[in-house]
Amino acid sequence: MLVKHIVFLINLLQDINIVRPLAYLAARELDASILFMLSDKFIERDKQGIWQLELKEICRETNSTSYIYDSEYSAFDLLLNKRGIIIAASESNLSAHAHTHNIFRIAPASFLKITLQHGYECVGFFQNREHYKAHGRNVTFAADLVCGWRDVSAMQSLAASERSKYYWTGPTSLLSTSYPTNTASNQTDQDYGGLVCENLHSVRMNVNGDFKASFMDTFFAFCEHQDKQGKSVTLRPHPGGQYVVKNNIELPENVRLNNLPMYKVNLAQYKFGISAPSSVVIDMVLAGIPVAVWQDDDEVIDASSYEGLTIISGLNDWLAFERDVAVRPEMLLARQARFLQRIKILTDAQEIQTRFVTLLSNGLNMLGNVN
Amino acid sequence: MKICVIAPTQEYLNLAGVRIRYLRIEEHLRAQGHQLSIEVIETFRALPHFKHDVYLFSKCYDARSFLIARLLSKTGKLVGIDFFDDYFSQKNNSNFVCHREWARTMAEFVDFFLCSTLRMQEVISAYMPDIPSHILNDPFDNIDLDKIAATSERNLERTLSTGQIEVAWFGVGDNPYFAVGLRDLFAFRSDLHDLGRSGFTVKLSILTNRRALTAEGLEMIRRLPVSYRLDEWSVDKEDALLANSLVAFIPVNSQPFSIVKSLNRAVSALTNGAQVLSSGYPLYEQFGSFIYRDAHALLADIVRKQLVMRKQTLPDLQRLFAECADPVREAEKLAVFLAKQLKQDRLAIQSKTVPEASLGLIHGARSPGECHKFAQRFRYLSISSPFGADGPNYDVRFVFVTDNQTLEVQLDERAWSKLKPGFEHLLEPKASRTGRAVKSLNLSALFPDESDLIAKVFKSNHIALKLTTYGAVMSAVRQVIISIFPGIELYLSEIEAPYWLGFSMNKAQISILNFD
Repeated sequence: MLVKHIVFLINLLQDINIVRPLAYLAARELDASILFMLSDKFIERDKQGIWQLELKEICRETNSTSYIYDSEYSAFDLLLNKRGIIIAASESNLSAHAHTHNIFRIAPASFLKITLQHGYECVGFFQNREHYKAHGRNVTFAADLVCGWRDVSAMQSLAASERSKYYWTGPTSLLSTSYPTNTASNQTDQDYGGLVCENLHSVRMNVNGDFKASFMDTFFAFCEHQDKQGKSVTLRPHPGGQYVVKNNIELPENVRLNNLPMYKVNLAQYKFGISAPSSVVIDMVLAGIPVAVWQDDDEVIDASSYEGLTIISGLNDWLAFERDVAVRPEMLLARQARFLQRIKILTDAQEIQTRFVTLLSNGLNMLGNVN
Repeated sequence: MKICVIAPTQEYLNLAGVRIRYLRIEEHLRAQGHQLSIEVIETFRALPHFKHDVYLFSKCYDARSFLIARLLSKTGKLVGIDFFDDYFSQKNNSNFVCHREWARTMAEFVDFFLCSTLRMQEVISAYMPDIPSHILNDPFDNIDLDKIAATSERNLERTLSTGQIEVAWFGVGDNPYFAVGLRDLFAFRSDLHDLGRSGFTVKLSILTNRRALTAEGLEMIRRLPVSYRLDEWSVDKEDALLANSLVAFIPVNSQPFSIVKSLNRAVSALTNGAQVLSSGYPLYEQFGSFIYRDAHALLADIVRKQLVMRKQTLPDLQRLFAECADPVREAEKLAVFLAKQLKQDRLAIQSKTVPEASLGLIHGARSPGECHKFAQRFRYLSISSPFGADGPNYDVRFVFVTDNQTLEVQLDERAWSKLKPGFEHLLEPKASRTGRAVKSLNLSALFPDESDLIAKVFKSNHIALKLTTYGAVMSAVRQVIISIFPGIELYLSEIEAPYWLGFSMNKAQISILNFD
């Protein structure tokens, strides 16, 4: 009998954030060895080694091991004579996902293959206008099952061939993990002010024009305004993009940079959050803070997926939003609650855990008779 | 007689084909008083290095081989080619235009050719109809009948006692142009399925090259209907695997590339004591009843404990091998054939006088840098075209001067000394783009039509212009070269489309193309 394994494929830096809660869940609930398989591209991308350190910590806490694969053959070699479940956070037939997609293609039949939705707007699950332009409407998976955040009726980009693979689990980020909260979040008397998230590397910031300057100019003007009132602002770069870090953008004195992994940030400690369309908007909404979605003045950037939330563009909008946060936050939060209901996202952490445990434990047992 | 096999690269020397085809007859040639050695083409630096009697090109499909063959053909050396892969019969496949053109060019210089099979000989005879040829079969390494009998018997006993059939698949798993190797294994997987439905369990062991183990290759392997082991191929692993396998599965598809293949895989399997199951094209027909053609026959023989290759039938197998795979006989037949050709060649050389001619190589699409170096090393003029690489220090380079919109040709010393009398006073001393002293000739003034045409390509990078005018521009280049170097023998180096097939558009057609 082959030893049961839960294998996590890690290729993009963001993958860690998505699969981490599942690794903890597997360690707590399932009788299987946990293995992280890192593509050599992941090691290349993680130039500062931040995510490899994170992974070390995860491996230590979940008693799991990690290997690097540099080709389909080396991955095949690792998987041969094992059985269980392979989980990828970014897998599809797009060339950017080839390093996980191909592993799913060649994985021995003794494995069940699962792809997780890795963002609110996500290729193959729920695409925005730029996704459609870049990748078309027929994105497919090599996985046997794909796990999404929302009811299948909301998964408008799921190709017809992939619908039968869909399983509604909700986002992994809501699973409880045994991580220690970071030290900063314990200092509750500190004023954290607002949180602004940038994803300026994103394809949506470049496809239909260059919106980077427009966003940063408004951000700088907002910071100046906050500074006059003695308030600070926290800026959070996208974990994979790191635009302000990579481009050495000089930041005003009252701006703090937060570059911790998302699971080490206590979003609830911020007074409000602002971001261009991005999954972090959903993270902040779920954390229960007032959130505004930035869109360019001409409304070229597609923010339609966030309809129902507060949309802001120029400095006046930012200031008006900040005023609303101070004066009538309950109005904003009620608006966000309605939004969550409308998009049919599963937010009940207990239910999400049940669905994942059911899936993974049944998956492992189903494969009990193979080989 | 000293025989030299010319190989394309150092890596080539490590391939199974080289070991099987040349090294297995080497010792037997030696025993008969001959010598066989293998040299990489790049090691030849000058004509005096060619000290052997016979030169045999093996898979050297670029201009370097005909540069050498042209020079050797006038020296009393015997020059030939060994053909064992069919890149020549697919007349409608544009991937192999350069192979076909290569064979046509080589046909002018070679004295003989060798083939691995009769079918390959038929294919090549279409290119070289009057050139003597000989079939050199891939020989076995050594044959030990007692060992084969013992191995075969042991494997049968183990199969019956364990209920597990050990199946081997080995060989090159891929090809850049043809669906072979792992694709054959995958396509004929129903035979494995049949074996597995018999009540026996099937354990397939695959030995193949690393390059074949791409996502596509591995995906096919994982979809096989039996359990498998996979490892990278080596000679030792192959021998060990075959000795422990009841049967080698060698399916063959019917495309031209596959049906000319030599019998060496079946020979290796049988001489190591494994039965052979080969479905698809009957490539191993010569071995008659020693080849299982379907899984059911093999299963029936396992059950009645009487496999086709067993102690009692081995004398018949030995007789078959003697006809088509015996290294001693293959070495003998080859030596006789070559000696006869050598004698005839030397007689022919005595009776003909060869005029000295200037030689030149024009570099077309993707001409390899090695061909330029080789041309200069062997005293050919290395001639650029607007389509060749920009880097090499050609002896003759076409240059478009943007200042005065004229086309000129820059000649180095070796080239200007061969220039047609009457042109010297038109030469203008210049420095090449790398600072070498060259002399330039204004072509726009001398050959306005050809220059206009060639200049068009320099003026535009448009891919459509290159594709549509390639043949015409290359013809113009040749015309100019012939005009300024009278009597020059020109050869062409190109390994990528578009190809210069003698096709050229007329002036009216060209004039309507405007990509400027």
